[in-house]
Amino acid sequence: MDDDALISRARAGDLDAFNLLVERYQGLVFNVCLRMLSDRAAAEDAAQEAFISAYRALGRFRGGSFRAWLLRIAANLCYDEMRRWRRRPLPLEAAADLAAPAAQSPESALMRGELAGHLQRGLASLPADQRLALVLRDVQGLAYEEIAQAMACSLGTVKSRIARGRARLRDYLKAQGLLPSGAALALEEE
Amino acid sequence: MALAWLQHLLSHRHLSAYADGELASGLRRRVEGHLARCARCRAEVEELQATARTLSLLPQEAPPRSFALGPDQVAAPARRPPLALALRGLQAATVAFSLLLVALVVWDVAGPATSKQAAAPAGSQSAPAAAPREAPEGAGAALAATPTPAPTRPDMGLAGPQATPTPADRRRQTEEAPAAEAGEETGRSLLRVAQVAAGVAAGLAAGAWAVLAIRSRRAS
Repeated sequence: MDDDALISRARAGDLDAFNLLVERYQGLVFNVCLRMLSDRAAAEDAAQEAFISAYRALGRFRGGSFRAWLLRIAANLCYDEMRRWRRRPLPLEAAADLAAPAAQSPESALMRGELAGHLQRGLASLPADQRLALVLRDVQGLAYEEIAQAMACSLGTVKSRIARGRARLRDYLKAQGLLPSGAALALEEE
Repeated sequence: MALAWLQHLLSHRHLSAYADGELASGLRRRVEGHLARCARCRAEVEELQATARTLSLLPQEAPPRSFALGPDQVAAPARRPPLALALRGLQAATVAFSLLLVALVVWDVAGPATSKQAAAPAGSQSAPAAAPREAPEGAGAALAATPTPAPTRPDMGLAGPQATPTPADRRRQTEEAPAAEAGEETGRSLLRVAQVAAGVAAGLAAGAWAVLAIRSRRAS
């Protein structure tokens, strides 16, 4: 059953229909919150709150991409959480705790875990708008158009946020020795 | 040379969107034309693509639990007085009571002087026309003149200082003078009570606002 049909049923008070939507998008929403907040418990709370808010606000959904609408609610909750942190900051080590889940071999788990930690720290160093745009694009693979809907901004703003965020993350990864220079990459391809 | 630099600047800011295949065909062709001539931009596109590829290695983590909603989670939230509204109301009350207090003190300082001046003709016969002429000069004076028993009649003012008051007029004025003083005393004590009440109310509102504000900050 597609999103629109489930939304219609959920609007009529069918909680099971809404929970099918929750199941469909909970992985996406949780992972976006996790990459935005660098903290599992906070991401879990934000994701749960996003679904509760979405259910209550379902009457105000005006069509289009439900996924983008849901992500906008989740992103706003993440921004609220980060504003609270500014008043009462969390320890900086939070980002480092986000190691990857178990992979095929212990070595690759270690490698991927370290890389994930670096990437998460690199993301955390970006301004929130650039971080969200980059997470939606490069981690979740959304198209620019849908990112614009999720961020409630123009396509031009999305392009600029992705460009700036990616350039800053590239500088961070190069400084960590995790990314060869463009010339070396070109040679590798040849 | 300058044109090439301009093309470099114009193309450079589109490199990330170009790497994502998100440029419209016209702009994409222009950027491709520039890339064919600019090794620096080609290297930059490689780096941006490598950054995107690296970032896509971040694993998708399984949610720690299901976020499916239960009936209790979707029930309307319990109605409780919104804290923000209470804070705003208390703030407004503090300002309103403070302004009232200031107005009452100003009245106390400036008001009786004017009312004394307005009441003066009641005691002396020298300038019976003074009150009706001075009273309308300011709102405060007009207000101050209202509660005191009218010392003169408008027709007396029109009659001018030469007009001799009749014995009946004189008798009425001598009777009214003590009554006016007694009325003024009652007015003053009422004014004091109102001042204290306004001060206490302003203090209470400010105190309650401060307590609520501190509690809400701690809670968040």
